[in-house]
Amino acid sequence: MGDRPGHGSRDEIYYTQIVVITAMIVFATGFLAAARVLVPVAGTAAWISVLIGGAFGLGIAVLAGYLAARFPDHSLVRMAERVFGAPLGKLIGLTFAAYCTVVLGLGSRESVLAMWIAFLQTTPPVLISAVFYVLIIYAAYLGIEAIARVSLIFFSLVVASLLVLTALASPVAVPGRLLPIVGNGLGPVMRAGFLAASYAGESIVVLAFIRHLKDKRGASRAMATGVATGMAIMAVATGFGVMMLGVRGISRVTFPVLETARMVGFGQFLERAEILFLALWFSAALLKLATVFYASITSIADVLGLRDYRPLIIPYALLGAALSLIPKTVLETFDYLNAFVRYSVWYTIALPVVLLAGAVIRGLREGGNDVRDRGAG
Amino acid sequence: MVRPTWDKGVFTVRLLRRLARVGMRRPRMMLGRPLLPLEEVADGIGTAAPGAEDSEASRKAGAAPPDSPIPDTLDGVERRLRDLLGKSSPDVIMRRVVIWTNPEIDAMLFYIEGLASRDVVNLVALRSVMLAERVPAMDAGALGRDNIASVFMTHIVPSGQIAVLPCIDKVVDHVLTGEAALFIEGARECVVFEAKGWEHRGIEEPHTEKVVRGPREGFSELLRANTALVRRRLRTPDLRMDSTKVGRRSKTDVVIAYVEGLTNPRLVATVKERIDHIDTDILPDSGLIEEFTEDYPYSPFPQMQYTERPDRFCAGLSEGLVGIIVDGSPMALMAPGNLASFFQSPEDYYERFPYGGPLRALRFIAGVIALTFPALYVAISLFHQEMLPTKLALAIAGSHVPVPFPVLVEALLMEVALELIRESSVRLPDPVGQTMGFVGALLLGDAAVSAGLVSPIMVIVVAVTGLASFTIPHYPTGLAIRLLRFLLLFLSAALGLFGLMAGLMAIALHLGALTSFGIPYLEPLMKPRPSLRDAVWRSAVFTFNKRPEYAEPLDQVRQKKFIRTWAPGVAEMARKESREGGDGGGEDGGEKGSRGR
Amino acid sequence: MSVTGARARTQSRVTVGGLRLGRTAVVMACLLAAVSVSGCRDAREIESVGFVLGLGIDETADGRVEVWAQVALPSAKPAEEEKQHSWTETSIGDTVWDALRQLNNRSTKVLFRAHVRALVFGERFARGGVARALDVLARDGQFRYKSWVFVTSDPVGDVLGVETKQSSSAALYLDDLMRNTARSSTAPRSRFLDLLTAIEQPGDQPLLARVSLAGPADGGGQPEGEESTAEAGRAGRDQGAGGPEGAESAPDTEPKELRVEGSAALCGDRMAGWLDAEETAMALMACNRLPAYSFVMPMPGDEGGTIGFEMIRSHADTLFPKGIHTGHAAGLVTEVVIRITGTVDIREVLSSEQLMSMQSLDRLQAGISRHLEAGIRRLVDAAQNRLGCDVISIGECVRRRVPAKVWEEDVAPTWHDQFRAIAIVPEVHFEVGKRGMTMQSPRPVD
Repeated sequence: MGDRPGHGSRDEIYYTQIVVITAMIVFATGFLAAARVLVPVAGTAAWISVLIGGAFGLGIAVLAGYLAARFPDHSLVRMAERVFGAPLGKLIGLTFAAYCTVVLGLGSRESVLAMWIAFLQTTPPVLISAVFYVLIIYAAYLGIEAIARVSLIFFSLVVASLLVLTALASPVAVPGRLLPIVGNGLGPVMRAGFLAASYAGESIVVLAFIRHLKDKRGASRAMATGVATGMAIMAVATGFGVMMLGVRGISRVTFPVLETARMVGFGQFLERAEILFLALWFSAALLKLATVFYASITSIADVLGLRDYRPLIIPYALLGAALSLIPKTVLETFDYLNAFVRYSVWYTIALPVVLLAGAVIRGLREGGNDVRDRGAG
Repeated sequence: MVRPTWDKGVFTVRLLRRLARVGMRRPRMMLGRPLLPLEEVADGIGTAAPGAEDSEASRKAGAAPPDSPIPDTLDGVERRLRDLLGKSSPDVIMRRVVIWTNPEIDAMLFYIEGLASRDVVNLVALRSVMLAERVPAMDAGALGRDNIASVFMTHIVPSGQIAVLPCIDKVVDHVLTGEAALFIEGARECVVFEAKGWEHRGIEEPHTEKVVRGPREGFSELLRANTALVRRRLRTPDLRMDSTKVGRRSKTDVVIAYVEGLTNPRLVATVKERIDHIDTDILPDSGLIEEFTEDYPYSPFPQMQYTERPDRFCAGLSEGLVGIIVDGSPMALMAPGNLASFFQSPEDYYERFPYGGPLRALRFIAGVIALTFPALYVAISLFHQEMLPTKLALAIAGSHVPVPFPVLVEALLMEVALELIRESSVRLPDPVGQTMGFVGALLLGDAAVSAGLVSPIMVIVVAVTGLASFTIPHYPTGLAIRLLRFLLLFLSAALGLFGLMAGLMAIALHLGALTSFGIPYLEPLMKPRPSLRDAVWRSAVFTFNKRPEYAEPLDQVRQKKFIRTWAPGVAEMARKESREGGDGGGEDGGEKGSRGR
Repeated sequence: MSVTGARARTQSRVTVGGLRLGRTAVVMACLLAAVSVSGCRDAREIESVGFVLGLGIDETADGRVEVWAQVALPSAKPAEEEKQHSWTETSIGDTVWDALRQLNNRSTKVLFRAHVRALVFGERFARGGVARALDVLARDGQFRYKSWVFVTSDPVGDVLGVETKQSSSAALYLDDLMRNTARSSTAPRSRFLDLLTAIEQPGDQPLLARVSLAGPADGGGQPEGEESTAEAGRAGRDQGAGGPEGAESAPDTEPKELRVEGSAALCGDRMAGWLDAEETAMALMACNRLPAYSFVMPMPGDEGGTIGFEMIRSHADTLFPKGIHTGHAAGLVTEVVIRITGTVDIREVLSSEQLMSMQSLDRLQAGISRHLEAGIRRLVDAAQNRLGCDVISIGECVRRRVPAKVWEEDVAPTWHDQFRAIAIVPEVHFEVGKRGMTMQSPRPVD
């Protein structure tokens, strides 16, 4: 990917950008409705369960980081091929691509739904989806570097908006609604924590392109920081949701964080600013989906042995758009979301554990004499 | 290239004609003289490679075109010159003189009136060969054909820049750049000396980058004057000015300036390589070089900085940029450019820190406003009326009642009207132009509101947008923002804030992928590093101890970390720092402490 | 990087109708067309939007729902008269949504509910259950959470139709009234948000502000207790025929002013009864929601006279006996202590007692505490006996202390019954803060 004009190719990502990308992958599409998934299970302690999930996710991220440090210049598929041999490795790569596809479809569906239900009510959701996917296609053409740079800018904006939101919401929020602290009990909280870990586990998507990080020794730390940041943001969002709406209220509304944004205002003149927040969150969701898209097609390109992933962009985008339109109603979407949240955690734990275990057992590291290493491409 | 034409008959005839011409001794082209062979044109680094098929073919054939030596007799020379330059150009002067040697020699002075300075020609050439006392002592007979010109060069003709040339075509080239030639009867070479002295605009205040405080010298069209301005400000011997000629017919001098040991040599090599590849007829302005050499010519965003101010040019050179000065253009280019640099104005540095910083931040905000304000207004008033405070919503609705157009059409009307006013006021003569701009805008706005064509709020929105876009110091960036504003307007009218955000995302992604000479466009805004001190906000001048890194200069250290050591707190910090020996952060904090006193 | 890549790709030409276009251009054109054709449906020109400023909901005699909408009519002229013209219309339907739908059909503009300032429920509707209206309004993405909610015993149409001198339309007038913090002592600042969130928990019942018509000669407070209920009931039955006799002393053609005082207490979503101004203030104080409160009381001690205070800071704690958290006694509450502390400023002294000694101050503080305790006891009595519902949010305090399962399954279903049997003991300790700029009253020497 280095045919850029100018003096030398610079396909590099920095440490901060990995942190930001990981954080966005974790929270960007999930935090709107996370409370709705977790509160029925954990009660008022949903935010604690998010933190527990974050702890799980930290473990996953650290393992993934070790894996990346062991094979600094390999993409995920390449790693799998080295550890398990070509056919099995390609299969693992395909499962990874499938996982990314599910994340993509579900994430884009959720974001489109939020935009459609809340604001553009008579516009056909296909159109909103189309705009999403056109932007994702453009971002994928431009490559991970452009996405990383833009992510840094928009992440700061999103974090700033969330800070503003919490500041504005503090006078209206009732901290008492977070009591009792243990919510529905320790058991349900742990269960909800495990569900929340699925959000954090999405961070393994980063494995597909972490070889572009300049200094691989920081990979573990970067991913862990990103996961921690993302889950902290989700915890705050969930906590505020409970404080503003109460447990029953959360089960009642479709997008708790959106309702929270609707409730706050700045004095008399800026009262219904939730569309501003939503526009910013939409951009974060877009960048997350672009990253996942990129990870997916580079993996597929590696599996198929292509040198350049660009021919795959449009077909895969059509696939993603079609998948995202499968759940036709809100209820179906939440059904799929619940199923995803319950089962995907296993995959996100299994992937880095299996690869790392295989690499450690076979004693493999980067730098071995492997003719299949095609290097950067 | 043989262009395919519709009529096959004409096509065949033309092809045959061309084939027939190949064998001719002197190939003729549509528009003029044959081109010089490649080796003769090579001068300095890089060659303007003419791509005509004739010289290409002959080059491929391996045969060098014949040398054009200087004819033996002055008449022969005159005939040859008239051949080359046309039979009767009134500004081509060929003046026969007799040199007062013993025995006397005939000579001919050849120059272009208007290019060569009359004084120089008279004093240097004519006076020296006709009246100088040394001349009669020369024994002309002892001088042969080969060395008489060199002797004249070293002994007789008093000029600072002087050379002998054996090839008459090259002599013509030099004379066309403003030098004068002295042909000596019977000599194999010709003396060519510097005599440039044409009319030019003097050093004036730059028209486009006016400042309240700061030097008021601007580049002019004369290359030598410009390079002199640069040399005066950077008196280091490391300042290199490599010259090349661009343009087949214009042979414009282009100077590439950089500081050796500071500027990254790869950057210099890239710039030179790209300029070498330029193949064009004439180069009237540096703007064409920009388009020829930038990474993404189709992007609306400019990728090179330009400036009319030598102080800004030198500041850029000292940061590791490569500067390009073009003869005939007062705009000097600097490569690479990035987004933050287009919002910087030299005034930021000349004014003190408390004003410089906020002013720069204000410009960024103004840039954002200029890009999004009309689109934001349209989006909110069409889709998101719940965002407005009730009183404002009712006021907007009330002001919109008499207007027959939808908001989008209204916005487009006003924007187009503003653009028309802007464009027309650029072209009108000065006194009329300013009045017209002002009056036009007032009348248009007021009359339109009274007629009920637009609402007063729309006028305010458009006016604020216009003002914001004028605060951007770099004109092409302002143009890019103007262009993109229309795109965002359409998107927001279609999909509200969602469309606006989608448009902004697309622009951001485009900027994220943009590079300027291989260096990412958004570079200084990326990770926290010293160069961020100068990007969106300008920190105090004494904190700029590292150079900005985006141009990857070889030498990172610009100035000492603690400069104001005469201030009590700072001296202590410097001592502590040198004791610890490490790179402790927070010189800002130290300086702040001392500033607070 | 791939701007160049994308450019290289578009070298392949596509011929469309004789024009040779790049592929990118075709895609962009299609997208632009799609976006502009289908995306504009959501756009509403701002002058065609009917800004609903006030919404009124009441029940008719035969059980149908009547809805009033006060729509702003923006005009192009600047506000010389400072009057926001508005148009109030009403329609009757089977449900709130039905009535709204019919209203929409009758309006030239699209009714836009995002600027509703005041939502007024009629008493009859409130007693029947407010949840009937909540579903529509909560589901509606336009409705503001911060709209003020009122209950009135007067005809809703009259309330919304008041043409006041102080402000433009009635809805804006109510909005301005509620923003005035002085109002918060005699009426709760009830917003739609509070109604929505509090209604779901039995321990946290909302108080809704009471609005009523007040003629220009009318001075006193509202009749208390059952009287007003009966009168309001009568008023609810006569639609548009004039308000209750107690509140009106002039023919109904005379413009009235609006008064916001007192509150309606809800049990679940049904209105249980009215609370007058003092009871409302006490209830808010016990829940920690009272920003400021002014009152006048007789001077304690022998000297007689009255003294006026402004309470600027108060804090209420609900103290439970031990053992409520765990075991099978969890959630079983028999006694609760409400401890209220705060500071009052002296605003007016009309007595010969000038409070120049520490003893007199102590006596005064004790007197204040007694006075407020008595007020709270009256409120508790009204809440437990007259209204029969928990308006002082003791249930919410219980909910925070017991495990969620216990609350949900054991306590919440029967909370109101339990509440009626609890012994609530107020403990009030107030201190005197500022005395103002004078130490003694200016009086002639006698």
